[in-house]
Amino acid sequence: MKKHKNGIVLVLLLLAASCFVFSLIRLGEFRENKKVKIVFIPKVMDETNDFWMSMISGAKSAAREYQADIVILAPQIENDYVRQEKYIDEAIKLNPDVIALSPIRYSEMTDSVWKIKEAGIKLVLLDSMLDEDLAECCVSTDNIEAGTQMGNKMLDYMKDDTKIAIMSFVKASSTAIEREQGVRTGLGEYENRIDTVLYSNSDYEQAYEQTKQLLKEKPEINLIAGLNLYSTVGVARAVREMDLKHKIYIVGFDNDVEGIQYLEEGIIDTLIVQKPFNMGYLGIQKAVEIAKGKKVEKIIYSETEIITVDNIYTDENQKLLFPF
Amino acid sequence: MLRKIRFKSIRTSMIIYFSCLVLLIVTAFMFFSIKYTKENLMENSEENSRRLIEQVNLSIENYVDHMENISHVVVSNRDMREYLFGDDETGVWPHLKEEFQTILQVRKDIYNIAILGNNGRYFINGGNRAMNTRAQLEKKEWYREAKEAGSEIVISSSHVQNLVKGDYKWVVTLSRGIQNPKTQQVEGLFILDLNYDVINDLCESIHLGNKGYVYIVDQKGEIVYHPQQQLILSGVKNELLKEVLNQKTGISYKDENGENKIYTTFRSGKTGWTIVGVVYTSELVKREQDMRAMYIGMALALIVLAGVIAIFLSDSITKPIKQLQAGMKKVQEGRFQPVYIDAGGDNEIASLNRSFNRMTEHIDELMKRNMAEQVEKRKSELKALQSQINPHFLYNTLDSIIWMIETDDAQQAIKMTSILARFFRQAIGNSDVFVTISQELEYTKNYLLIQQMRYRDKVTFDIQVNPDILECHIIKLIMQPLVENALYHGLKYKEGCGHIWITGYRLENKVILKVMDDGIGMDTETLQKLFRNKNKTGGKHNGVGLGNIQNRLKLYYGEEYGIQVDSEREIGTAITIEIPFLLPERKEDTDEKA
Repeated sequence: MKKHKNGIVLVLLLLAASCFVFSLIRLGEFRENKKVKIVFIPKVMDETNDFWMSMISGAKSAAREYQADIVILAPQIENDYVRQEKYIDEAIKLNPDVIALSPIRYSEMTDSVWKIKEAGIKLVLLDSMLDEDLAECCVSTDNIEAGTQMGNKMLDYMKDDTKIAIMSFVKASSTAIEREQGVRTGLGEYENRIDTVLYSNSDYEQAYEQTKQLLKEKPEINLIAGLNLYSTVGVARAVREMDLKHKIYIVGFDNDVEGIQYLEEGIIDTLIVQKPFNMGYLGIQKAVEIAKGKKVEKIIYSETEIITVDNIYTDENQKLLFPF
Repeated sequence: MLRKIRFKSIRTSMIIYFSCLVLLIVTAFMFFSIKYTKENLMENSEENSRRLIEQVNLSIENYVDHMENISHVVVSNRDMREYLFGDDETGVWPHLKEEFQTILQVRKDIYNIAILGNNGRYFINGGNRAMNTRAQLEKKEWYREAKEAGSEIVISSSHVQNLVKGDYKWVVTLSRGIQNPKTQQVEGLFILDLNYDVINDLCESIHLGNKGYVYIVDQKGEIVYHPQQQLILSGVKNELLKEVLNQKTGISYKDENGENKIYTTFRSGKTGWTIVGVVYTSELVKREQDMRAMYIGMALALIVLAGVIAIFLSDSITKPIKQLQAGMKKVQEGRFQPVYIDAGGDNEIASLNRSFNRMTEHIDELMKRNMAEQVEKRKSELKALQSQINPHFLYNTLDSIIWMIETDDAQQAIKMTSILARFFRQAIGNSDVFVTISQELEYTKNYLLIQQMRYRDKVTFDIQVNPDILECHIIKLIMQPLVENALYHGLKYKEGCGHIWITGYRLENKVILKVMDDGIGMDTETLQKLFRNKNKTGGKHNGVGLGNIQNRLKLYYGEEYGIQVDSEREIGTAITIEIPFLLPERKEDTDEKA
């Protein structure tokens, strides 16, 4: 009789104790599950590069908002893709839930990126794509759309004798191809006005030299489209030096202080500006969602903004053009 | 409900009631604690937010105060007026330069200090910076507002200052019109730029939980500072901008991700800005969950502890009760022993135990006394029986003896006297309860002989007893009263000579003795009367009734033994005695048992 009762009491005690322990464990799990670990590998982290600094601060902002642990591994100079591959290996060792990557190369880095997949880590691409479909999600500017936007804007500067030169950047790079394609779409029936396509190889000097060369050889060119920052600034420098302001219209991509000055001066007429902060934010936001097992869209496009001298200092644009 | 449940022991019910009580109390306590702490948490959080944003506001107003002071100093400066409106532009240049540089050196938070004259003269910072000719100031909101305000101080929202050539910096501008002393008209503008980083760092340094943040909007609802300004301006995220302007405080808002946020606002009188602190409810809830888990854990632990204590407590309380119960059971079984329990102290159980022990003792004593009294009573009963030998019998016998002596029948007299003497020796001399059957028969025979001599031919008798039972035990004074009965109830009223037979034999473990007569017999009424009057004294004949004999036999030998009377009118009566076959060795035992 007595033993029997003790048994009941013992069972009750065990039950209570297990409830207690269970609730503690569950609480712990609940907490641990919440922290998502992300490694973000941008193309570069350089205080003078507003575009990438902006993207990194967007990423950090999202990480804070979603309470994710973020580690940023970035090469110090742009285009150092060997360093970036090393960072990919390092990131895999950290065993995060998601790696957010802005690949410097379109096809040379595929092997490295495959290792991410093999380690079972989710991949989110920011800004640039890869030639293989390895990512859960890509957040980037819609380059065709941006190009089209540029092409449409170029119609504003279209005159009867307009001849167009395009200063692209890296031949056969996906972004360059897409942007050029977009420009052609945007121009529509005036596509035949495109006279020359040049490649600056993402170098101010080359863009500058090639522009000077071009304008000497073909003085009839009076509308130049720069497809990235290096090309645009290089073109603007050449035009400024040759004092061809107002004779030659320049539309360009991206911005820095020099570009803004040219815009204020009237050397550059329009800039198509990306939104790196938003890209960084959206990329990390999606990474967190992926880590939590939510379905996300495969491609998320970040908008671009058309900047002219009249709208530099609007509330929205000044934060975009001068992020810091 | 509770009334229907009956627990099998006090211990169980104590444990369960106690546990239920503790559960109830702990649950109630927990409920109120959680409620109170939750309210407290919310209040604290709001209080904390308010304190922090007031701190932000204080710092900002501090900066603005300083800027205003500087503006007072500069605007009232004669050199400055001379420079803008006077003739000696270059003469005051070094003074102005020195003054501006001093201000810039002392106040690191001041980014630009400039005066602009409507006449095109200007002086920026050290005087060595050129004005951005493409600045298009009249298109800028802050400039237009400054111009409209005349000589009033205007504090702009945050913006990019492009006044200086090649320099684009986020600032907050304090501006003030400068009067030309000659014309008394506002013909210039004083500009002081506060480095925006100051506000940025200030707001970023405020931590409202891990996710919470601070933002500032101006009186038009435009963002002065927001950590995610780009996202909001490009429409990726929504924020309460104009909505916070006229709100007192404590707005609750659900954002596009379904996250609940609490907004605490503070409007600065000096700048007209509204500073907003945002706290995520989920973080409060998490803290609340932590807290709740802690409370529940604690409550469970307490309940477990209480359960254990309840077991021990109820054990210690019920243990003496159980001991007492065991003791009572023994008493119930007839063992009157005192119960010793460790009740500890002088509580109810101990006193109950004492009372119980006293009662047991008392009962035991009473039982013993009762037993002794019984023995005593039987002894005296026997004595009474012995002394009950009818005195008439003695008178009559003595009369007979006298009569015999008178008739010189000496032989008969001697014989009768000697028989009488023997009879009385047997009746009185032996105080034992038990005698052998032969002794009892001898006694009965003597009695019959005396009666036979008295009544001469009235009675004859015959004793035929099997010799193997002669040594057997029998209670004293069983046979003689039966014979006396037979004489007085059977033969006395019979005409002519009557006969009495006494037989005895062994039947297995029993001894059967029979006393039979051929007297008038008895009807059942008389029989019953004989059984009833077991000890009738003062009657003419022997008072030992059949009832008395029956009782004694049953008392000493047990219920299955006794006498049986068969009687029939005009034929006679037969009385059968059944007793166990007991030999004298067992005399001691039986005696003791008695």
